[in-house]
Amino acid sequence: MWAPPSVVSIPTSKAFPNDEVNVARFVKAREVEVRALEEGIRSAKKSQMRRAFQDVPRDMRRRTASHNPRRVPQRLRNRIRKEMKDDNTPVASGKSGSGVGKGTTAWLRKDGIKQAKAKAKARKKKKKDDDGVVVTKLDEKNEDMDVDVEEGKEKKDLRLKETLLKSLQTRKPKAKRSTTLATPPKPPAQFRKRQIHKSWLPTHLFHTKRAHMTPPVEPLWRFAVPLTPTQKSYRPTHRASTLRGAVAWDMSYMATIALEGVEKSISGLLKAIGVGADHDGELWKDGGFGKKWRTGTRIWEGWVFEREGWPLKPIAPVVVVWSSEGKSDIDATDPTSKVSKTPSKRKVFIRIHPAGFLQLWQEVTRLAKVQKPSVSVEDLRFEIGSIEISGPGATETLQTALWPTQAPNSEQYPPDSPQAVWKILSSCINPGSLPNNTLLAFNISDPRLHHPPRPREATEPAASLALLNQVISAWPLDKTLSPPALFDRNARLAAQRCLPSQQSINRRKGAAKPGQYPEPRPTDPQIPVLLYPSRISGSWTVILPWKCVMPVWAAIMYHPLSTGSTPRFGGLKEIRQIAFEGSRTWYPGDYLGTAAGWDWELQERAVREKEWSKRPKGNRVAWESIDLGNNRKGEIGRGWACDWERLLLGPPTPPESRASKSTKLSLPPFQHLSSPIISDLLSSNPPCALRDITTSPTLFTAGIKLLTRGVPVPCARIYRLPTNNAELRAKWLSLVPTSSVLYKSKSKANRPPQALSKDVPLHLRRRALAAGLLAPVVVEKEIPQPGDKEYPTVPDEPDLIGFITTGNFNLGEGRGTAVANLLADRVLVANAENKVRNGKVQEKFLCIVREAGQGFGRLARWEVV
Amino acid sequence: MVRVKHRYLVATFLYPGAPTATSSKESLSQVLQFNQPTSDRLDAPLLLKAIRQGVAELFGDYGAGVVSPSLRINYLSPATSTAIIRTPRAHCQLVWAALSFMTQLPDPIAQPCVVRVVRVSGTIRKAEHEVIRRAKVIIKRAQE
Repeated sequence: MWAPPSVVSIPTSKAFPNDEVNVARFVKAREVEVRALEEGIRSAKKSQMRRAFQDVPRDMRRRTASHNPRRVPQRLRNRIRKEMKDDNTPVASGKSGSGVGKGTTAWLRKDGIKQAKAKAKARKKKKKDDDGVVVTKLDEKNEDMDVDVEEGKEKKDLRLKETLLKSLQTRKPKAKRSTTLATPPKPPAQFRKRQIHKSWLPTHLFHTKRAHMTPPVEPLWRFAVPLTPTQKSYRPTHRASTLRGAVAWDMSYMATIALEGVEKSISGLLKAIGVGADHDGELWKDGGFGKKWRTGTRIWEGWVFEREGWPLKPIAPVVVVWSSEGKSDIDATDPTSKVSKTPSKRKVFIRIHPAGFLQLWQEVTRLAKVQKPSVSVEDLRFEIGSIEISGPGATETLQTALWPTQAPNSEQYPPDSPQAVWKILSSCINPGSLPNNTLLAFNISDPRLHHPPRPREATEPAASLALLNQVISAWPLDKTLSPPALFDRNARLAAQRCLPSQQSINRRKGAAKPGQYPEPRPTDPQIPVLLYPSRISGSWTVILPWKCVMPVWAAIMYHPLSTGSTPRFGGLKEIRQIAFEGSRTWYPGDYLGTAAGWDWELQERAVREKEWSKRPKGNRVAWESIDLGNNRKGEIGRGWACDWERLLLGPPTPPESRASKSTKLSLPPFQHLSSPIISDLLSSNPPCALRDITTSPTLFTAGIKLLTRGVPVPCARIYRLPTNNAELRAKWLSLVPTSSVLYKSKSKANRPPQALSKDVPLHLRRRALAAGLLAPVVVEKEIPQPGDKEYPTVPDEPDLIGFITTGNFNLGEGRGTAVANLLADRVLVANAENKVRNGKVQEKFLCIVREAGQGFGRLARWEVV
Repeated sequence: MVRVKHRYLVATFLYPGAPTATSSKESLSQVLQFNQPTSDRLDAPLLLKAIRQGVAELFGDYGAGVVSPSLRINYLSPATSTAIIRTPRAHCQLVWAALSFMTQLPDPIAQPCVVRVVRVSGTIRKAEHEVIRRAKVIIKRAQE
């Protein structure tokens, strides 16, 4: 039997000769013992039989690695092969993968491989026998040949660029009359069949290998969107976005609409869809933020509404960017333009979530025709892609991935230019510290040319921070931002078409000096890029041409962060998680008042119903038998859904059978009240009614925080404090946790025992302690818990005000929080009543949250979000 | 195969009060006196026999039968008076009691001592860690 190696111990006669015991020998004996034990521990660890696949990091461990050496990181493969040979473990070979086949196919494939190997062996042998000369290095002749090939390509690229430029000069772009929706680019034949009803993101092949995607038949917004990485990533994502590291998303599914026209007509169009309609039109005044935005040095983020639909019919949150005015090349070189007489045309990008794209597109195209002179609208969905990256390491990652192209004539860029400012921003960790809503636009070089990244030289932190502070406070780009090349279609196309193949890049890298990046060439693509930081979410958004997204994505994903590891990537679930943790709402899921939000809710409802009905009756929640107290049984509406119809229409009257579901409303039954408006309504004195603004049911988004215990869950029901039942209301109010409840209690028995002061002599304190241990004082909990008889029951259905759309334990806050949609009129009525009663401040904004399958509710506080 | 689990007792031999057999000119500090080295004649088989006898005396045949299969001295250092004793998991308290009732070292030596069980651990690694930690602490205390 295997026994662990024993630890050596010195006999006393050796440690203490002549039986002398003194401090020095004592200490030495102990030290020797410590060393011997440590040695024993080390040798025990080494002698333990540990296979290679047990030494793999936690997120790379697989069950099947013990039979297949390829399923283990490369550095351990040799070790595993040796171990398996020693052990006589059968190696599983070639059973998985596409084209492997079973039966005859498998045999034929294996046979083919065997024959190919044999042929290769024979060829090698023949070569060796034929010429005794072994070619060791490239001859000069070969090198020239390589250069010729390169030159030939170079010439071709130059010619291509020339023709593009020529087309710029000879043909004037015409204003498009008929605006059509863009079609996705034609994918390679191998993948065409899978992209008929959906399109792939530019980084699709990266994501399919590492993330769960939407099911092939149920794409989201007609895109194959990654939902979540395959590895467990809830906490790592939270840590990477707040603590250390970075998280990146491929957001190329965000739609872009380009408007081109005279500034007045574009402004008219934007005003008509409600851009800047709140804050009394401050955005359109001549000066301040509005002016900066219209000159193209700032972006505007906000909501866009239906035509004449402000403030109750929002479509989606958008980002609007103007292209800054500057002398464009066309006007400079084309003598026949009539630029001097007519006002110059401006360009605007509107970026919107695909869920709201179609609605906005229809509005914009209709409004564009109405403007005089008309605005040309273009759908740039598959021409422009974007990447979003957040976290403390985001700026560092982008610095490595986005290298501005070299200045012409190899000059330095002036210190005011975006390229110089970008370099200075490398020491900025928090994009929120930059001026609000700024943007940067410059051309970058192909990231593959300077990959793999090299560790940057450490710059003096004090000097760089001082420079950074200067730049942030002065923000020189306000004066020097030239029109971003991204707005120019020819620049985008040129960048996409001039992207060299991976093979040519590899050739260039091989030809470069060891340890050096290949030299930049005039034929290299100049990728136009627009990037802006977001203060609210602490993230950077990078907008670039569609086909250039993949090289930049690869540079981001393989960037070694200074804090260790590489940036993570995220899916839809991670976007929702990060928005939730930052106490922000997520469009479309949290906005039931929009058409897209309603669609999303119907989708989620179907998914949840399917999940519920697929479980056997014994294993699922029985909605009919839930006891809500006061002889009320059964869940309100459908338990697996946020039953908005039930909230609107009330319980079904007896003649309707319970089996017939309420009419499925495909049009959104609600309108949405934006947060500033509802805040105004709530705080106004005297309380004004919602009837002044609208009569149809409206919702608003609210954030929920539970007061005592519990974690809010999606589809939980939210009630206001009972309005009819004063007794129940008082009971609920007594649950509000304040420390005064216990300490001010009149009966001494209920007060917690006070700690004796230090003046009291020791023996008395000991006596008190002993007494306390023998007969512990039980402090009757004045606060009843759910399940007790005194715990208040849930209010009636008229007091139902809404449902929770997103709820979970918030790792950022350390407690459960939620985002909910509440019915505005019921909330305002309760608020008004509260004011009439002169309720205490702590009574304001209280609500009761009850999970869908539970019978009891918990007190919570809500606030407008 | 079901895993047979053990407990590892870390025990020290302490010598309170009585002066050492050796005569030394300076009076030893209390730390050194308490934790003085044990005689070389205490080896693993002798200690094992002493424990078995102790368990039999306190708990009779049942105790002796239940404790003896897994009883083993993993580590014994007379120079530092420390021992790691392996016992069966369910009955480690019997051995602990037997150790506590030992008033003197086993017969040929017959020196009065106190056996103190300092830590019970499920793995020998943690027991060794504890011995290392204690040794470091005592070195500091002895040097003061």
